[in-house]
This record gives sequence, structure tokens and C-alpha cells, in this order.
Amino acid sequence: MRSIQRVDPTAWARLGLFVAVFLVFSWRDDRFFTTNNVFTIFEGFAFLGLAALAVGVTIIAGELDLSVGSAAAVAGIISVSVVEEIGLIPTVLLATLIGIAYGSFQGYLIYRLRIQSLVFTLGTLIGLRGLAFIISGENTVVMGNLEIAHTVRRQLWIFSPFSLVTLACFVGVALFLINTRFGREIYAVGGGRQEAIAAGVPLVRPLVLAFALSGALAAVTGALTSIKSGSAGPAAFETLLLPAATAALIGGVSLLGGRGSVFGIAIGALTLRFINSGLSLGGAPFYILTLATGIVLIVAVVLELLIGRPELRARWRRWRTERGMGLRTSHHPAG
Amino acid sequence: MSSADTSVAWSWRQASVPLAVVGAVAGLALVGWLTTPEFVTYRNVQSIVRSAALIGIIAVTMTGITMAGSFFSLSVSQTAAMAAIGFAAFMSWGWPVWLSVLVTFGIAAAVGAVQGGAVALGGNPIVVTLAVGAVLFGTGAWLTDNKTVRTGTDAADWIGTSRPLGIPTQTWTFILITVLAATVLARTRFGRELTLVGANRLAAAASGLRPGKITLYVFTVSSLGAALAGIFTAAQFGQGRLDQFDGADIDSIAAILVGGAAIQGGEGSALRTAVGAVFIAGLQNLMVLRGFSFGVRILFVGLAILVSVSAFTVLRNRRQMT
Amino acid sequence: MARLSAGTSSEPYLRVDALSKAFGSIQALDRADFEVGHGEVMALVGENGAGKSTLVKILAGMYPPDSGRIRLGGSDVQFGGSTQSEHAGIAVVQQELSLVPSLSIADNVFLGDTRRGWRTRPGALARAAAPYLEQVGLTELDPRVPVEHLSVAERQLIEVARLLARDARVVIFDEPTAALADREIQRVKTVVRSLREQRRSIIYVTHRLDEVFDLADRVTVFRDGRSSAPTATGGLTLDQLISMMLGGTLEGLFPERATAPGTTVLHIQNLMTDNVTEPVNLEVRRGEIVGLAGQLGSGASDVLRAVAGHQPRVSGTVAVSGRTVPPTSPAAAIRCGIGYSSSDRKRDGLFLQRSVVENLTSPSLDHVTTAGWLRPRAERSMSDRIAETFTIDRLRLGSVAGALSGGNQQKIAVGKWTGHPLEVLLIDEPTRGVDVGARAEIYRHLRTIAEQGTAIVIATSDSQEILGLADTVVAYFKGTQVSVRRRTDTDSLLLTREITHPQEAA
Repeated sequence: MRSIQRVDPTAWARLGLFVAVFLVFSWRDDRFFTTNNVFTIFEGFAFLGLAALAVGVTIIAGELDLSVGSAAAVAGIISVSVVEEIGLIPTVLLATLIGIAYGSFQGYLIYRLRIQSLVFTLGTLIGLRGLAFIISGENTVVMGNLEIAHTVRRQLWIFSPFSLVTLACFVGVALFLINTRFGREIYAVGGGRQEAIAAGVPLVRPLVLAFALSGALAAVTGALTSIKSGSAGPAAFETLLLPAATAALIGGVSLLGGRGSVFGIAIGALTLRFINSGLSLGGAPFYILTLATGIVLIVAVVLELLIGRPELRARWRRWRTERGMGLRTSHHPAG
Repeated sequence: MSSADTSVAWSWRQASVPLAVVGAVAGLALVGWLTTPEFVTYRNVQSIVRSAALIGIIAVTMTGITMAGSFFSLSVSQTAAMAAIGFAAFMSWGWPVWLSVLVTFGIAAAVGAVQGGAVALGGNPIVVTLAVGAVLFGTGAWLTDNKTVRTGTDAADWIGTSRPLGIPTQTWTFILITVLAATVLARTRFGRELTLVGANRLAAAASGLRPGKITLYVFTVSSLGAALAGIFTAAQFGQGRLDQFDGADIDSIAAILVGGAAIQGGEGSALRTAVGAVFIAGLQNLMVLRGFSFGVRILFVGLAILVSVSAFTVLRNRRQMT
Repeated sequence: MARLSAGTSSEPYLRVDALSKAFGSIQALDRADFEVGHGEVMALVGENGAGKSTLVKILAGMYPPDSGRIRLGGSDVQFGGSTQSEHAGIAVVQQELSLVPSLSIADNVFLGDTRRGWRTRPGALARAAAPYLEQVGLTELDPRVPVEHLSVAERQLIEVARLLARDARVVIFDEPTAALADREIQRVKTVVRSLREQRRSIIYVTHRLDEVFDLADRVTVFRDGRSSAPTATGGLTLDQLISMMLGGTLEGLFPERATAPGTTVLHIQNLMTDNVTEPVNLEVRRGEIVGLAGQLGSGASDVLRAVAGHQPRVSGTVAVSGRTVPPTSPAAAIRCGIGYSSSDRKRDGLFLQRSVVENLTSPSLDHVTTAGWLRPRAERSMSDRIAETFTIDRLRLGSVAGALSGGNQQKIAVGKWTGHPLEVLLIDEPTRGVDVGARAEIYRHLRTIAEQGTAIVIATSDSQEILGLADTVVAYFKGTQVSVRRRTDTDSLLLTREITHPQEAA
């Protein structure tokens, strides 16, 4: 059998980065590897991972959902408002359903109007933020009974119900994307939209599914994070897009669409989480975390430019040889 | 149908986007006039334009990015904030105003050129600017310890507070920059190249134009526009703060979209973007006058964007077909 | 739609009667008949624009016919879309592939197959794909490998595997070998033969006439939208087939030839580039129109692209009037006086959403600006001049280019190069997607430009076009320059042989 790599070669680089970050921080700080700290990392992963998965799925479909932060805020406010009356599990299910309904509608409109998702989701990003302010009465909504909040963040070894739900979401989305035709179609319309349509894939289905997934995951993020903290503010999750997109991209999701895996997104989210936890343990203020995230994102973009696209690599090589030859022939004729 | 008929029909369709923008503004003015007497007064219109000025400057200078086919910049709010902080710091070190302005612009130009270069090499503009925005924010907070930087002098106050002919400098600048940008886009070679690069990057390269260079320039110009807004704010309040421009990127993108620039590039106008900025400011103003809550106001701005981009997309799709 | 029972009568499995289809003023199919039987390979040949691809697209359900009848397995069928055609068991191996590069082979084999269930476990999918891959001779590949790692031929075979997975009874190959090397062509041929053994019906569209004799049982020739009666290949000679394809000449379509050409302007020496297998040498004189004749993948287009700076040169030099043209970019070539119009004007020739004026002046911005300022009057007069030369309606100069007909768009894509002094004009497929009236105009305009002192090189797969227009005819076949002849030293028979089947021509 001809040997062709089945796995994207950059995957090893990503895994290496993950291990390196892990080793550096666990070596530099002996508190890093304690049960409590690993628990904290997983809590952060739960929050970041779900958001990264939401953004990642739409990028895989060749689109981009900018509205995840606002959707999470709306879901958080609704959840905190109703959780004491209807209970934890019904609340999360309700938030999920609202997210699915919103996402499907958004996906359908993007398909139907043939509009760039970037522009459309910018509109929903602003509109939903307004909605968050309206339904919260422009105030932070607080739960009277913090018992439920404790339930969500109760520590079970290194996990909590929150991070366990997150892991379940990851497994579920992975199974869906890998093992169902509908999941493969999301990859197909992202990796080659015209080709997929020519092969008989109806564009509407993968678009609606991708945005429905994104909406549902954003809603779960918002619901669980808010319930866990016992309150939901209308301005929450405003900067969610940056870490979510960063995690997805360093996890190997390509902005060109059609590439990336749930496992990669998990690794990306964990890597970013490790960097942030490591920096926080070292006493760095929040803005250093933003700075670090920005730098990681820039590195990811540059890597994708140089490694992920052979034609750019060829151009780079050509440019270098041209320059090299120019130097040899015109400026340094002797050497 | 004779060819003369079709040409008339086409020109109507081609005018559909500008007409829609004018119609939206007229509609807003009409609704305001009918429901809220104090809306259409000279004083109020002046205050609307004034409140639109800073976002307008950022949006008008960002229009080039959109028209050249690179969507938007998500780093303008951080660029503006960094410029405000930088300018305030330079002033507090006792530098003369002109030097502070020059150095601030120089840094902003470099920041813009880096982003333009990355996009020209094939980087996704949204992600590149998102990342650079984060780095700018982080660096700014780190350098200032996340504290407000005061100019500590009133030498630059006139930039932000004087009112030649009774109109604030910000409004003057907004108008001047709009006229300048509209002229450059419509009447110069640079503007034409930019539009053609946005309309079809491959065809532009095949016609001997330089898409990479244009991309570099539009991001630099956008960055300079953001820096100008930052300097105005720092001069007006005598201080620079990192969160001073939160949401400015979204607001200016909204102005561009309401102004009907084609998101995929090749179409748009500085004048329409300026009208878009004034439209949003007017909408906000009207809603404030009507006593709408903050949330409702944001919701309506979001809806305005959704409706306008959907309408423009449908209009354009219809024009491209047939 | 129910599975159609096979072979109920002596009627051929697929039969098309009096099919017509018009696009605007172009009658693409004019009461064409066609048939293919069980276990038969029917070759479909004809010049460009003869109606082959329209027939293929109608059979694939992509266009509805204006009139006519399609019978499949003895009953009438109508396709409302590609899914219905697919369910009826007709499938096309397209020139433009429909494989998603980032997905695995197995994913691609079953992509869009609505009859399969919703479960796609990778292991199970790979096992399910294996027999189909085996049938097309791709046993050495792991079905879980992404398609992007495969060669063009392998991708083509995977398309075939997909059709087999959908159990297509009628398989249409649309110029499958155009972009393939010899060894790869053998693989495709082997697959076609094995499909015939499985009693499937195969329609084989090709420009390479050797393949007709090699593979097909019968051949149908299309010409100007009409069909010939199917002819068995056994009793047919190559010359007979070529003359069936060519038919009568198109009187009046081509302009009178010019006076003697002037000095040499364009020198191409030892040029090597992608898809070119032997160094190319060519000289073109002022006032001369040189025609590079060759089918898709012959290398003729690649020579033009390399000269114009649109694809890298591996070696060799290009000079215009003694001045070396740097290989770096289109801009460098333009500065040396080279204009290039590609075969895909929508991709890189036109700004569809911008006005005709802006399109016409786009390569000549230096000539309509002063110190960076556009001079609207200069723009207007330049576009007026071009519009007059190329007979573009001046009332339409302000319209967006996308609103014009294909013929007018092509006039813009070519005419825009004449705004400033031009030494060499290179045109790939000068009249693709253009109706007959506009074709004649474009030919006349090209002759006018040549007479004004420009050297013109066209590349086309239409031998009529070459013979009607060119002063010098250069034939390409699979990346090599087969011959350079004066127009008077060649004829359609010789040329068609050279670009389709050069071994016998020699």
C-alpha cells in the first residue's frame, strides 16, 4: 500500500507545543501539577473549549460565527433567571434548544440570502447584545440560591459537572462530525464548496447544522458559566471570540475551511488554558493573558501561512532563491 | 427590449444601493420629524453629526479596507486607545504637540503596515487584526499598568475642544476626511486601483496593478484614522485610557455596512459610509430622545445592520444575475 | 424513481431524439439524436461549440432541454435536476472534478450519495469503498487518505469509483484524458473497458481521436448542434472521421488576410514551463497573427501564460523588440508591451461589478492619470476609441461589465489591452462562449489590431479558428511543439491530425 500520511503533519507540531507548554509550566511551578490546579485548568477548559468548539465548527464549514459571545450572554441571562424555578438540567436543556433554534435560523438565512456569514453574524452579534441588555433590565441577574451554582462547580477529583458536560459535548460533536454523513457534509462544504455541491450535497443542510451546533454550544457555554458563577451580566462574554478563535486555530482548524478536528480543538483549548494558568500562577495580570493570547494567535496565523499552504511556501522559497541569486550575481560576483 | 431600454433599466438597478442608503436616511428623518419635534432641529442635527464624528473618522478611513476586499479591521479600537495613551504620555513628557502627533501617527502607521503586510501575504484579515488588537491591548495595559495616562498639560486641549465657526474640530475633521477620502477614492489612480483590486484581485494583478501594495496602504490609512480619533480624545479629555474606545470597531463596521459597501469588495463610498455613521448616530439620538433603554437601542442598531446588509446583498445578487 | 429494468427490447439503453437547446441567440443543440447501448462505448466527438457539452449537461440534469425526448431503458424520462438524473442511473465524470480535496478517498466516494444511510464510521466507510476502488484499479491506496495527496488521474478514477458506488448504468466521461500523462491515460482506458464488460453504457467525449479508435465501439459526431448517425469505428478511417467533424467551411466569418508582416517583435527562446515537455522556440512579427493549436492540456495555453508572467518559467528567455521580459509578474510583462487575455475572463479578465469604462482603462491607468489624478476626459476618450474599434455599444460604457453578453464581455477582455501602445497581444481562446456574430467581429478586430503593427498570438483548440485567422500555425500535442507551418502550407486535415494524433500525421 502506498504510504501517504493520513494525519496532517502539523498535528505533531501542535501536540508538541501542547506538551512543551505543559512541561514548561509544570516544571517552573510545582503548584501547577496539583489536583486542585488541574481541576482549575479543566474548569477553564470547560469554558474556553466549548466556545472554541462553537467557533471551530463554523470555520470548518467555511464560515465564521462572530455572534457566539452575545449568544452566550443571552443564554446565561435566561438560564440564571429560570434555573431556580425549573431546575438545573431543564435549564441547560432549554438553553440548548434556544441555541439550536437561533443557530438554525441564522444558518438558514445565511444560506437563503447568500450572504457572507461574517457580515450577518456581526449584525446578530450586536442585536443579541442589545437583547441581553433588554431581558436583564440592564443589570446583572443574580441567583438567590447558590446551592445550584455549587452543584455545577463541585469538585469531583479533577473534574466538575461543568467540565464533564464539556467533555461529553466534545465526544458528542466528535462522533457527529466523524461518524455521520451530516458531519462529513460540514467538512465537505468547507473544504470545497463547489465540489461538494457538484457531488450532490445540499448546501442548506450542512450550513444549518453548523450554525445550529455553534448556537447550541455557545448557549451551553453561557448557561453553565453563568449558573456556576451565580450571576449573569448583560455585558458578559464580550471578548469571548478572541480566545475561542485562537484555541480553534492553534488546534489546527484552518481558516480556509474543511480542516480541523474536535480533538485538535480540545488540544488547542488546553494549550491556551495551560499558558493562561501558568501565567496567572506566576502572578501576571489579566492583560498579560490577552497579550499572550494575541501573540499565540499571530504565531498560529504565521504558521498556517507558511506550513499550511504549499503554494505560499513555494513562493517564499522562490523569493529567497531570487534574492540569493541576485546577491551572488550582482553584489558579490566573487563569492 | 432595445439596447437603450436595457441600459436605462440597468442604470436604475445600479443606483439601487445609493438610493437605498438615501432612502434609509430620509425615512429616519421623516419618522423623527413626525414623532419627535426636537429631532430635526439645527442644534440636534449638529449634535448628531458631532457624536458621529469620531466613529465616522474611523469608519471612513476603514472603508478602503472593505472596498479593497479585505473585509474589516478589528484592531481599530485598540489602535485608537493606544494612540490616545501614547499621545497623552508624550505630552506628559513635555514633548511639543507637533512631535507628539507625529510620533503617534508614525507608530500607528507601522502597526497598520504590519497588519496590511500580513494580509497581503494571505493572512485572514479578521484573524490578523483580532490578534494584533489583542497584542496592542496587552502591550498598552502592560506599559501603563492598566492605568489612565494624563497629559498633565493643556497645550493640546485646543485640538479637542476648540470650535472654529461654532463647529467642533472633530466635526470639521470628520467632514474634511470624508471629502478627502471620497475624492481620493473617486478621482485618483490610487482609489481606482483600490476599487479594482477589491472587485477582482486576480484580474487586477493580470492588469498590472499591485494588490499587495494596495492592501498594505489601506490598512495603514485605517490605522492612521484610528490614531487621529485617539489623539482627538486624548486632547479633549487630557488623558488616554485603554477602554476609551471599546466597541468602536463594531460601530465603525456598522457604519460601513449601513453605508452599503460591498462586503466582498469593489464597491462602496466614503460619503455613504459617513452617511451610515450619521444614520446610526441619528438612530441612537432619536431613540434617546424617545427614552428607549440602552438594550433596545443596541438591539435596533443590530437590526439596522441585519436589514441593511440583507437588503444590499439581495439587491446585488439580483443585479449580478440575469 | 424506480430502478429501470435493463435490456427489455432491442432498443438501445439510452436514446435521445430530436433534442434542442438554445442559449440566447446560440442554438447549442439543433434536433440532435444520440444513443448508446448496453455494454457499449459510444464516442462523442466534435469541434468546440458543436454541442457535445450541452448534451452532456442535459443528460446530467443540469439544463432542461427546450424540446426533444430522452428514453432510458425503454421509457421516457425527464430530469428536473441532477439528483433525478443520478437516481435514473446517469453519472458524469466531469472535467472539473467534484472531489473535496481535504476529505478522505472513502468520504469522497460516498459524498452526496443520498441512498446510503447516515452512518459514516471511517473504518466501515473505508471497507465499503474498497471494492469500488478495486474496480477502478486503485488497490494500492488507503481509502482514509485525503484526496489532495493524489494525482489528477487518480482523482479521476475516484470519481469513477463514486459513480460505481451509485451504481450508474450510464457513465459519461467528459474529456477524461485532457490533463493526463500517457501512463495515466492507460489506467483510465482500462477502467472504461472493464465498465463495458460490466454491461454499463459508456459515453466517451474526447478530442483525442486515437482514443476513439482504441476504445469506442461506435462514434457520433456533433457539428453546429447537429448529430451524425452513429458509425461503427471498425470500418472508419481517421481521415473520414476528421472530415465528418469539420464539414463545410464558415464563409465570411474570417477577415481578409493582411499584407506581409514586418520585423520580429516577440522572441521566445528555449522556454520551458509547466505542462511543456520540450523547450519552445518561436518568433512573431509585427502584423502577424500566430495561432497555437492544441487541445486542453497540450501546452499551448501554458506557453502564453508563461510569456505573460502568469505562470513561472522553468527556463528560457522572452524578449519584446530586443528587450528581455522578466519572468516575475504580469505587471513586468505589461511594461514590456505585452497584453494577455486568459481563457477564463470571469476569473481574471474582467471586473464584473465595475463599469465598462473602468474595465477598459484598467491596464492603462498610467495613460489616463496625471500625477496620480484620474482624467475623466482621457478615460472617456480612451474607452470611446476602444469601443469604436471593437464595436461595443457606447451607451453601455457606463453599465457594469457583468450585465453585458458573453460576446461583449470578450470584446472588453481583449479590447482593454489596446488602450495604450501594445507590442504583443496574447489571447487564450479568443471566442469561448461567444455567439457567431460576435465571433466574426472579434476576428475582424484582431486583424485590424495586427495591421496597426501589433504581433498577435492566439491559443485555441478550435482548428477552424486557427486556419481562418492565423498567418502562422503552430501545433501542440501533449506538451510538445509538433510543427510550425505557414497557413498556406497546412490544411484542416493535417492540422487536426497534428493536434489529435500526431504519430500518424508524421
